[in-house]
Amino acid sequence: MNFNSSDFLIFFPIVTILYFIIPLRVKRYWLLIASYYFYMSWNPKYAVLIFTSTLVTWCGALLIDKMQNHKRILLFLSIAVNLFILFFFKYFGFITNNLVTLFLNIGITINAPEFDVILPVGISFYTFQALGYTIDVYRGDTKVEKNFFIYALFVSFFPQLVAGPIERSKNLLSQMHEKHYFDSDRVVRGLILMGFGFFKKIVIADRIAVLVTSVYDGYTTHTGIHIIMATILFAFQIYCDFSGYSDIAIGAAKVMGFNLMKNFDTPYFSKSVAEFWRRWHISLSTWFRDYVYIPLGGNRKGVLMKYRNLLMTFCLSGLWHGASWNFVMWGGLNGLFQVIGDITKEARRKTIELFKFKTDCWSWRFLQCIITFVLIDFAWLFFRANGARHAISLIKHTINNMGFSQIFNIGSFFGREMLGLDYKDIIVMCLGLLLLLIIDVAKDKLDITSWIFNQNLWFRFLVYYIGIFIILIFGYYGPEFDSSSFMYFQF
Amino acid sequence: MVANIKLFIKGLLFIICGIAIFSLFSDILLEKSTYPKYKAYINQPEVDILIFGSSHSNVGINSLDMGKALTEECGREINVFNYSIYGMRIEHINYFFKEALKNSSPKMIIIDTYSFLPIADEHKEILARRAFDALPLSINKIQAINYLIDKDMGRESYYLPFIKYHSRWKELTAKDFSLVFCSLASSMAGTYNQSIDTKVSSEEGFVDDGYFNQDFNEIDDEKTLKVSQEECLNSIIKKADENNIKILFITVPYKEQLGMTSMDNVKINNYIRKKYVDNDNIKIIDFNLLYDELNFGYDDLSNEGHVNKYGAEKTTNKLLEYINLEFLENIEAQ
Repeated sequence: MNFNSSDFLIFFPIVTILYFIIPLRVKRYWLLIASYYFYMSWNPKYAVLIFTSTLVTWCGALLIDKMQNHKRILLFLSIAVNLFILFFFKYFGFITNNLVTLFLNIGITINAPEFDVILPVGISFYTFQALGYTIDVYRGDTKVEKNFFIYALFVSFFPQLVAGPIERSKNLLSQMHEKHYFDSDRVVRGLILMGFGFFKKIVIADRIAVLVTSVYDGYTTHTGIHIIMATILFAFQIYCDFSGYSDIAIGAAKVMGFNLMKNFDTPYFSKSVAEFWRRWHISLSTWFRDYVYIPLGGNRKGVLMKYRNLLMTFCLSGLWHGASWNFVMWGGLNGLFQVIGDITKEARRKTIELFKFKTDCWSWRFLQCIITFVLIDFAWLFFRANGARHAISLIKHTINNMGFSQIFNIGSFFGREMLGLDYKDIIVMCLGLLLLLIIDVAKDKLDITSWIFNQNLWFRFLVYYIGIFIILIFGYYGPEFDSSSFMYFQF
Repeated sequence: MVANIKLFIKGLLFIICGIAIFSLFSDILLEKSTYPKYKAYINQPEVDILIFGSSHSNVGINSLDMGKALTEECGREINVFNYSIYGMRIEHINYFFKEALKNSSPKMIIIDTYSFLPIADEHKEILARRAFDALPLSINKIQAINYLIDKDMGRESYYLPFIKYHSRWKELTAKDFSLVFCSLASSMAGTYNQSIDTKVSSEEGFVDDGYFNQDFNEIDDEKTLKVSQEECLNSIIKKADENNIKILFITVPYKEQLGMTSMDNVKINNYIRKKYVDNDNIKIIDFNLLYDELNFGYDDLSNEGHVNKYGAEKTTNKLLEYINLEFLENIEAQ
């Protein structure tokens, strides 16, 4: 059940209305049933996996709490079982394929076993959330949860189950014990956030997806300029797609009284790649920081070890996104940019001093944002490509067929035959991105939702209707379109 | 408590206004092929005779002229409305008839038996869309969609055509707005405007094969209906019986269309005649048996499947004659 499906538009109001009607003591059980139903709507068999993961980590944490002397081995077992499930379903094919190729290259033919398994939706998300809880209990950062049903709800809470934010037990588990009453202001705020998420997903991201898919899938018929343009737009597509999902998840949880963590903080306004990763997919970045980078030694064991840890963490993060080398390359590139950034820090400082560049002005910050965006966007090419070879071919094709003359040929960008979108769609896309930019710029200075709340009823209604009908009319959905799932569902 | 009531009223107001706006946008964005006919029908004050069928009866029966002639004959206003829609089959007519009864209480319905042509799988979508897209969401519409459209075809966009047509914002014209905002006069009574003078006999390379010189009265074979057709026909007859409505089956003349010939149609009519036609409430008039009397030929067809304005005139006049003879008294009595 995708958030952008008609099923969810029926499911969510029913779940929410009943949630506020039923007695307090059964609310969490109702949410647990709804969450499992939500997950099983993809494939009922998947429920076995999430249940196993829940049971193992719950029991593991209980035992860690009780048997402090053996907590290290218990933690190891809990992590091993969960990672085994994750590896089997997500990485088995990838590992065996690579081994077969490796052996073939040295002249040995091996027959690897093949399993026809479909990647369970959101397995990477809930596995990491459950593992995070076990590690927190091991470290004594969080109290062990004795009620299995509450813990099961923490792992399977439907708004963030399949694509995050990957919640920390300290934040979400405690909220599972709280009583949540109906609060109209909170509900409306949640709905506004959900609406904004839908706007980003179906008005902007799915529209851009048509153009990007058209160029990436048929790149040999396009010039380098087209590929560059599609790659730039992909940066906005993935941002709108994933932050749109996060907004819907956070909004849906808010409607029911739960506060999920912020997952995006205007990442394309970052002035360095390191800053970008503090503002993009915050729940995953901080997860890797707390449970991988710091345990590896972080920056405490010298410069070389720091760079090694950084590269390892980012390569693992890439692998987490998908069992394919292009994701590893994408992660590695992001790590490499940060390493290079750190190595050249002193040289850059001296260059700035030498040329007396002003650094406390808007133009300097803007330049930093642009450079960061170019680096991040180059890495996105590997993320979007259909494999490592495809990514390399795209780069080669771009360099060899740049087609600078196309820059001045507006028709080549906007013709339906060329890039899949007509000029009316391009206008809607540009206006959508402009609106997004205005909201992102304004939100630090103005709480837009509070501003709307302070207006008269007729004006509030007008704003809500305009928002709803912009999404309904200009959105990409319905039988005419191949409505795409949220991109992060596949991870 | 007061705060809760205020909140409830606000919520209700928001939903009601939202539905009204949604409905308006839905009408504007709708593909308008059958919308004008629906709009004309709901604006029609009262309908005495309602005609259902496919494109054959749509182009073949001039309901406007019929209404005028009957009004003159009866000395009071008789409204005839031609609610035939391209591709309409008996399965659609069943639900359409129920829908029509919400707005008027006709004394007689006329059904073109070409509508007994089975629905091909590849036509399911387009036929259902033509028939039901313009209708507002109702229990009847939901039942119709559930009956006609498979679950895996995504019924949501049939219940709420907005889901399909929202992307028409790109191609909206002034006509889309005028059809929604202007109250369409029902002066045409659903009649198709047969303004183009086309004759199949005028086409290059035309050879008269003598098809319309044959006497179909000799055909006494019967062609049974499909289960779904029989079900729908029984439902129509039951509904008509409950509402004291007479049924007249007709077959507008044609040669062949979508694999069905007028000879096949005669066989279907034989079956209907034998199984359903009675002396009081259900009648049948098959124009394919009256080629001689009508002096019907290729000159009266715009193509092999449809009559032109000359054919329509002949069919309408004959139908009028028949209604005058058989039904006028009953209509008057009611």
